[in-house]
Formats: sequence, structure tokens, C-alpha cells
Amino acid sequence: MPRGGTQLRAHRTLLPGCPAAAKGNGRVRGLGVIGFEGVKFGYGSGAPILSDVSVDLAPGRLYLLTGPSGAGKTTFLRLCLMEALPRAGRLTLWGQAAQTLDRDAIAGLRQRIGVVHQEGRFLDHLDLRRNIALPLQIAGRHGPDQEADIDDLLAWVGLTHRAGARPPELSGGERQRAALARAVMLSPELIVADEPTGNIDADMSARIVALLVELNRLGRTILIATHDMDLVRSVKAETAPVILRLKAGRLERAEARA
Amino acid sequence: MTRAGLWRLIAGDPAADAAVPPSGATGHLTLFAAAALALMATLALALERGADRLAASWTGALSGAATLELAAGDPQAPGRAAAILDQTPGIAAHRPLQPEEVAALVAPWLDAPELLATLDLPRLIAIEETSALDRAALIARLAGEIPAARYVTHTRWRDRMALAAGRLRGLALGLLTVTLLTTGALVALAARGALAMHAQVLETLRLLGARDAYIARAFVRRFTLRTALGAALGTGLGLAVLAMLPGDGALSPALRPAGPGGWALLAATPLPLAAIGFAATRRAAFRVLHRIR
Repeated sequence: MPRGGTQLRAHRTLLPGCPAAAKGNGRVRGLGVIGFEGVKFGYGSGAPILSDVSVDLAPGRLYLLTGPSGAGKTTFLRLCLMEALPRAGRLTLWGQAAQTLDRDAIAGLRQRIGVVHQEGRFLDHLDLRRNIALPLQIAGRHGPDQEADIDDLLAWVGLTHRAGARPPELSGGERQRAALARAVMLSPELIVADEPTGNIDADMSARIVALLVELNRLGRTILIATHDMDLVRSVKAETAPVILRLKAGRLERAEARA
Repeated sequence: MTRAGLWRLIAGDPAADAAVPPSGATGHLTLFAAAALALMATLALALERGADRLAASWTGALSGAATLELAAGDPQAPGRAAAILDQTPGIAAHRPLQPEEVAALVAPWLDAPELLATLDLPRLIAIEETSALDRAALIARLAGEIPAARYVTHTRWRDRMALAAGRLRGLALGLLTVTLLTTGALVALAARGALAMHAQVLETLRLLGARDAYIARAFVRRFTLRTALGAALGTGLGLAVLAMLPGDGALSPALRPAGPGGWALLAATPLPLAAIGFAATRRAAFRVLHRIR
């Protein structure tokens, strides 16, 4: 599979660019994608995992959330996906306070976020093609016209030949690429990736990084959580990410490299 | 539920249905349980309807009927009694029972038929009353003119039969209620089991932006249709059992439906069971989904 390259460009009809996608659908522009304001979070009554975290994720930027294991990276992502709510402080998504959203509103906002989980989180009873099409079906946008888009996406991530395979039959790298394809299916404004290069070889990691960087160039906001410094170096080599460093639950530094 | 919602439930959304994994054993359990419970519900409903019919028939048959019992030793008594009855307003008709008719009434209570010949059987007169009858006045006159006569109105028997039929009907209704409640509980349990088994799938669907209604609809549709199918099978079996009851058998009057309306009522048993399946699954689905963010 080429690194980004022609297959990705062929897919641009599916990825019209974040600002363009935001124009005609009544979405508010000019606001941060996700905002943390003095956010504190802990599970139950246990010690806080995140303390006084404040950061504003701007549209169209690529963020690398780094830090050692247990620093709170996954918790940070869970908050971004509204799988958990802050114990204190304010969390906003596209200007809407997460704490005030009902379940349907949360579902609606999640359709604007593409998620790449380390373990993939596929539906094992569906083949890869159906798994990639799932966001379209959930959003009620699946139809015969979208079949070509699914073909494009499969080609983009180099999995055309695996379209009929069930997720348990896929290798780690194939699962990561499939997760990325599914994440961009709805042309989301934000893509959140949790250790996207975990458990895969260097060559495959480079391919995943290239795909994420290319998506960012197409206008997507990208948030990658990783403790893999090779991934950080790879991204830095290709673009100018904003690096967010979490240590013991605190966001120590928000470094922008324009 | 709106008509559009009902149509969506019946027609289904193939994509949403596919997103929900196969229910496996819980699906088969629902089908089997619904069939067994529908069979019970059909028979209970048939019993309830039959008891109602029997009560009406027994009370109707005995209503307005009375018997005048005359001692065997007074050969003039039947004539005198007939004359009194002829003169009494409110007596629609009266007819003396022939000795062989009286013997036929007594015979079932005797072990040895030859004993009949040794008995002094009373003379009986079957009477049809109307509402114009002053029964107390008639009984008083009979007591004065034929002291050994006994006027039997059957009220006691009629009341007992009505009570027995009412209790039978109440029993059938209780059985029907328990059956419907059990259907709801079993379907909810099976749906909860299926949902819990696929908790990870539900989490993934929610994470991809699925609304609760989208996820629930697929589960609700599956379990409602399974309940309806199982109920249809069970009801069909119940109807077949009722149809096979011998026409002159002891159970036939109590169980066999009367006319096409009676059969149609029983054939509709799957509808309330499917409705219960729908409500139970929907409630279970939303309860499980609300535990997932």
C-alpha cells in the first residue's frame, strides 16, 4: 500500500475537509473542537486520575498526547468521547457542555468523532466491509451510492482483499488500518486514536502515521494518544504537531510547534 | 407506538438488525417459552369462555323451573295438585313425570337397578313458572290442601352451580394472568441475557454514535417477533387440541369454543403475548443501555 499517496487522494471525495464539511450543516465554526477547563476526574471516590486539566483543541490541528503508562492518556480520551464526565471543571465539545447533554445529543456528537482504538473494537459477527460501513448505517446514510465509498476506503487502507474477512481473522496491523477506515467513514471533524501503532511493526506504524498525517492535511483535527516515542518522531518528521504531555494526571506542557 | 413505529418494527431495518449479534440460546428459549405459555394461555382462555357459557346455560336451564314432589302413598294428590296449579296465576305449564322418568332420575344413584322395584318413588310434577307467580302463596296453599307436598324451586342448586362456574372462570382468569405475566418476565429475562452477553457490542455501537432507540429497536424487533412466532405455534397447538376433543366428551362443553367467534378469539392469543414481549424487551433494552454511556 502506498504511504498516503494516490489512493488517499482518490478518496478525497469522501473527505471533503473539515472546514468545508462544517459549512453547510449548521455546525458552529470558530470554536475549539474540545475544551477542558480545570477538569478533574477520578473513578468513583478514588484518587483523581486527571487534575486541573485545561486545554483547548483547535480545529484542523494534530495533537499528540504523550506520557508514561498510567498518566491518564486513555482517561483523557474517554472524556473526549464522553464515555466519562469530569468530577469537576468544564468539558465542552464544539461549544456544548458535555455535562448538560442527553444521551441522544451525545450520540449525535459522537458521529462527528472518528475513533481508532488500540484493540479495534469491531463487531466480530460482521465482516470487515460491514464493520467499516457501520458508522454510515448508524447515521442512516447507508445506501447503494455509499458502496463505492466503502470500496475507496478499503483501497485507501490497503484492505480490499480482506473485505470479506471477520475481525478475528485480521492481523494487528490490518485491524489498526480497518479501525482507521471505519473512523473516517462519516468524514468526522475529529479523529481520536488511542495507541494506534501499538502491537504492530515499524513499517505498519509508518503507514498508519502517514494516513493520520494525511487526514490532518485534509483538515481533520487529530488527537493521538501514545507513549511510543518513535511515533512522536515520525509525526514530527512529517508535520508540526501540538504535543500535550500528561504526567501523574496533570497536563504539564502544551507545546505548539507551528 | 405510532403507526410508522409499528411499521418500522415489523419491516425492520436490515442494517440495524445485522449490527445486533445473533441471540443464540436466549432466542431459542424465547421461542420455546412463548410457545408453551401460549398453549397454556389458549387453554386457559378456552376454559374461561367455557365456564362462562356453562354458567349461563346452567342458570338459564334452571331459571323458572320448579318441581312439585308428592308422596307416593296418596293417589289423589296428583289430581288435586294439578287443579291447584291450573288455578294459580304465574304457572306457565305443568306436567306430571311418568313413573319411568322418575325411575330414570333415581337409577344412577343406585348400585343395583333391581332395588328400584322395591322403592316407593314419589310422584313429580315439572312446573314452569313466570314472573307473575306468587310462590309463597302457592306454597302456603299446597301446605294447607296437600300437606305432604314439597315445592322445590332448584334455587339452591342453581346458586351452587353458578358459584362453581364462577370459581372455574376465576381460576381460568387467574391462570391466564399468571401466564401473561410469566411471558413478560421470561421474555424480559431472555432479552436482558442477550443484551448483557453483547455488552461490548452495545458499547461499540454507542461509541460509533448509535442512539439508544437504534440499538433497542433491533433487539426489541427480534424478541417481539420470536415471541409472536412462538405464541402462534403454541396457540396453533392449543387450537388443534381443542378441535380434537370428542364432541360428546366430558371436557367439550367446558373447553371447546362456541362458533367462529369463539375460535377467532382464541386464535388472537398471540397478539397480547407479542405486545407483552414488545413491552418487556423494550423496557429491558433501555434499562441495560442506560448503564452504558
